Amino acid sequence: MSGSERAILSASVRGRVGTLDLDVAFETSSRALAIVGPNGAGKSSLLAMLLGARGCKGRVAIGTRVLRDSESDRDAPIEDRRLGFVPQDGALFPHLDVRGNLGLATELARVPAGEASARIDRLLEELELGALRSRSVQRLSGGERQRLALARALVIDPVALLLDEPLSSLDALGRRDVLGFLVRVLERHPVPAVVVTHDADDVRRLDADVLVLEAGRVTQRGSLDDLARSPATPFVEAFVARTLGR
Amino acid sequence: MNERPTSDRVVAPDRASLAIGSLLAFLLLAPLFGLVVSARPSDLWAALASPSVWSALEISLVTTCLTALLTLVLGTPLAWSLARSEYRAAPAIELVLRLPIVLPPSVAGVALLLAFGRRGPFAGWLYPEGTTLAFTGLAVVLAQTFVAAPLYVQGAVAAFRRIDARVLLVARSLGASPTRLLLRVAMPMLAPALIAAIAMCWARALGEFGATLLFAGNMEGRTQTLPLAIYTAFESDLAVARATSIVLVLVALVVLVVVRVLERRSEAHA
Repeated sequence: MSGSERAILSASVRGRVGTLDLDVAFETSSRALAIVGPNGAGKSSLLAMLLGARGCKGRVAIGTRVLRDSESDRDAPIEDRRLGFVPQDGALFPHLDVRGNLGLATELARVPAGEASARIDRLLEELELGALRSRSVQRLSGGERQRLALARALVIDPVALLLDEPLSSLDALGRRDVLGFLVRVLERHPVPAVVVTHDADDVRRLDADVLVLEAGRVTQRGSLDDLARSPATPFVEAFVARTLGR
Repeated sequence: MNERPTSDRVVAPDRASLAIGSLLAFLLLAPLFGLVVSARPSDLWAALASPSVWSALEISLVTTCLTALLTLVLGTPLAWSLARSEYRAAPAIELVLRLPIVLPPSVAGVALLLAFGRRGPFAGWLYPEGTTLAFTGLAVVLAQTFVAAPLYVQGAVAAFRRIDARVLLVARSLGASPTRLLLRVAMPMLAPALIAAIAMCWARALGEFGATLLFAGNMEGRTQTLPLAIYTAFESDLAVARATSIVLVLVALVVLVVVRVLERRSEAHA
C-alpha cells in the first residue's frame, strides 16, 4: 500500500478452457476493470488464468512483477502471486470464526504475527466486522460473508484484487451494503482490481472501466458511457440499456 | 406427538413394515441381550483376576493405537491424493483399496502370510537374515491395518471430496503450498470427519480376529489380542469370555456414539 499510484496490471493470455478458446489482452490501472459478458464467455476462466491456472499461455504482469510469461517459461506458482481473490458467495473457511478466517489467511501468506494482528484489526474495523469477530461464519448474513471474503483477500496485502461476481449471491439489501464497502475499499487500497459482474449498475457505482468478453474474445473496451454511445455488439447494447433505461 | 404436522403422518411407516422390520431388529439385539443377562458380577472378578485378559488388553491397546497411527499418517495423504486426483485410474485404485473391507478376514490372513511370510515375494529384501514378520506383534498391527485402514481411507476420501473446491483455490491464492493446503486447511476443516473415520478404523482393528489368527497367531502375551483371548477363554472359562465380550460391546457402543456426534458436527460445516 505504498503511495497512491496504482500499478499497471497487464495481461495477454491464451488458452483452452473446456470447449472455449480464450484469447484476451488488456491493461488496467486507473480504476476497477469490470469484466462483463454473456454466460460461458470465459469471464471466470480469465480470472482463473490470472490466478495461475494451468494451461495458460501468454504474459501476465503487475507493475514490474512478471507472474506469467510463456516465452521465458516463467510461471509463478499461485501461492507466490499474492492476488486477493474473492469468489462468488465468499468460499469462507467454514470451520472458523470471522477472526479465524483472517488469521488463517495471514498464516498462509506468512505474515509475521505482530503485523498480522494489526492488519486484521484494521480490516475488521474498515469492513465493520469488529462486533462479529468471534462469530462462526455459518451464522453470517450474505453481505457479512462477502465483506469477510473481501477482508480476507485484503489482509495478505495483495498486489491486485480479483473478484468473481462478488455481489451476485446477495439480495438487494446485501448488495447495496457490500457495494458501498467495495467502493470504499477500492479507493483506499490502490491496487488494480478486476471485477466480473453481470450488472451495469455495479459498473456505474464502482466507476469501473468495462471489458466486454464474448466467446473468449474482447469485443469492446471503454467506459459505460462509451459503450452506451456506440455499442459494438447486440450484447453490449442490451447490457447498457438495462441501466440507462432506469 | 399430537402436534406434529399432518404431512409427517401421511408418510409415516405402515404397520406391516414396522412388524417385519422389528423381526430383524430383534435378531440383531437378542445376542447382546443374551450376553448382558447371562453375565454375573463375579464374571468381572474372574476376568480381572485372569492374567491372560490383562496381557490381551495391553496387546490390543498397543496394537490398535499403532494401527490407527499408521493409518492416519499414511492413509491421510493417500485419501487426499485419491480425492483430488484427476488421474484416470484413480477411481479403479480407490475401488481395489476397498477390497479388504469385503474380503473374508481368513482370506486376508492367508494373503498376508503368503505376501510377508518367509517365502513371500518380498522376503528377499524384507528379511535378508531369514527372520520373518509373521507371528510377531508387528504382524498383529499389519493384519489390523490391512483390514481396518480401508475404512479410514474410504471415510477420508468422502470427506475430502465434500470440500468446496473454491475454498481450496482461495487458500492457494492466499499463499498455501500444496502441502500446507492439506495440513493447514483441508485437515483442520475436516477434523471431525477424519476423527470419526479413524475411530471406525480403530474399532474395526480392535475387533480384528481372523486375519490376526492366521498371520500373527494366538500366542498369549505376544500376539493374543482381546478377541483372540475371548476365543481361547470360550473353551475354558466362559465367565472370562462373557466379561471380556461385554467390555468390547461397551467400547464399540462408545465409538459409535462418538462417531455419530462427530459426523453431525462435520455435516454442520458442509
